[in-house]
Amino acid sequence: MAEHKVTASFRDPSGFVFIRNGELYRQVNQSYKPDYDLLNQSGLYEELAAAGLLIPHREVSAAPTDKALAYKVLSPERVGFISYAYEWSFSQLKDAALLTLDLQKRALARGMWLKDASSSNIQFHNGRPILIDSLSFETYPEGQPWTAYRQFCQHFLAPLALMALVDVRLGQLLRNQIDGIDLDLCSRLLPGSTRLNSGLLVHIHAHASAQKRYAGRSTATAAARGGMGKTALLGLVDHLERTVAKLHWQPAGSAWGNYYSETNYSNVAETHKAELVENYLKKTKPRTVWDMGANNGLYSRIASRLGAFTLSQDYDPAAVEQNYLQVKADQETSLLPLLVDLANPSAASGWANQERLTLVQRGTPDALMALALVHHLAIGNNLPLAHIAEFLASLAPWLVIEFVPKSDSQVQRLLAARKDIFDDYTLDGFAKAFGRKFKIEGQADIAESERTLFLLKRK
Amino acid sequence: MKNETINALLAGVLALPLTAEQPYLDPGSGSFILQIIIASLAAVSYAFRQQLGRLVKFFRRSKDDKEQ
Repeated sequence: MAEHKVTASFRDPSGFVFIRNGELYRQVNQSYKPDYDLLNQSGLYEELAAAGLLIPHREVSAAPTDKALAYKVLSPERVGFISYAYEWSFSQLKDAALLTLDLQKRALARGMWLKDASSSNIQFHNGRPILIDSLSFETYPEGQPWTAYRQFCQHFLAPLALMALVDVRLGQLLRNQIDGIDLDLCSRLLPGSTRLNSGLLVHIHAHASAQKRYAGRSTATAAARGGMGKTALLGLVDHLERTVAKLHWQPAGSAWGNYYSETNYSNVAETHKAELVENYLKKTKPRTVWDMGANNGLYSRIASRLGAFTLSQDYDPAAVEQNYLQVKADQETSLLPLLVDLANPSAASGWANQERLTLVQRGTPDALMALALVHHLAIGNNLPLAHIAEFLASLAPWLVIEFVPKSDSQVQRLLAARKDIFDDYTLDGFAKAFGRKFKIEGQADIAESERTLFLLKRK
Repeated sequence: MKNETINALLAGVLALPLTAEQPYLDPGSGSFILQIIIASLAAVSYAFRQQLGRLVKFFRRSKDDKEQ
């Protein structure tokens, strides 16, 4: 029987996640029994699951993996793809933050609270953020300050403030600081004027100072009976909510955010390309598609409309933001926009390099789309075509890929200020390099353009 | 002077015992203390906003009733 604990699930002694024969389970430990029972008896589970704010689960009779500790075994509904905060656009992180605060308020109304506020407890499911950790709630200890306050500020408020007020790319600090951005660092990076913002003054600047000043003091003496009443706690949550809600990011002049309005090909070419992509996808009947270099998801939506769960990946924060806002506006359920640089995909990190997994460890797509991408990798990143073919072949059995020749103005832009050392970058060179790993199942010139679309099957 | 006042306040806070079970997550001493310092302000502000919200709701309802 194939069974293993999920490597990221070890911090909280209330339980853990394990996989047995491909099925995902969550063991609830005896130590969590009173809280688990209250979650159900208070009506909180029912309320949150019905509102789509907490992943639904069933109690099952499957054997626990650690019998000595076990109280219950749950079978949670699975999300399409596990993503991390550093792969989210600004609004994705903001929505995850607001969800966390909403959960805290709803829990307090039923005599519980969130004992942790990690961004990794939130995932995108059916187009919306959702809490996936059913063991995050515990009985509200009247009078106590919020134990997850620091974690909330580090995981959500600090990156959002830096992204909105300094540079959106600072969200990438989360790749290194997986328990959230240190508040003293955030305080130093934010402009001095943010001290005039009461939310940032208290929750970032004063918070960072308090951490420095009282480092090493015991909370056993710091916290007090009646030290922080429920009204004060609700006030804190309300203040955090208003602080987060006021943070906005407007993409200003990004290289590819307006790609489809600045494209160098005609409507005829665009329509023809869309038709070809649809036909090729229909031939492969994929359940999961990864669109690499998806921009704002225009072509990803062909895959999702055909019923495939589609990861719509791009390295441009503006494009991913635009893509996510469309998912929200249209209430799309099978498309997940993610910030991914294919030339440097998310690496493994955390304890034993197993807390955060690499991009490719987290899914096995049936088909890939790589449209208007190969020139960025081959010319923009000096990647040999053979290396690109090898990597893409390692990911999925099917590949819909577009070849953009050197004569195309987009490629000319990439070559404008550099020596052309790419002698193999031709249609023949492309077919030869990819021919080693794939069999050509389809090839078509895109009307009114010099581009060619291929359907490739892994050998 | 300001620092002395804060320190005096904290001396009181720090002397009080923790009664609840210890959390599995380190809440951070500074994060705990900051919350306690801002607690009364947060409570007053929250209660005021709640009352204001109720008042606005009440007047809106009266206005709607009149219009109907």
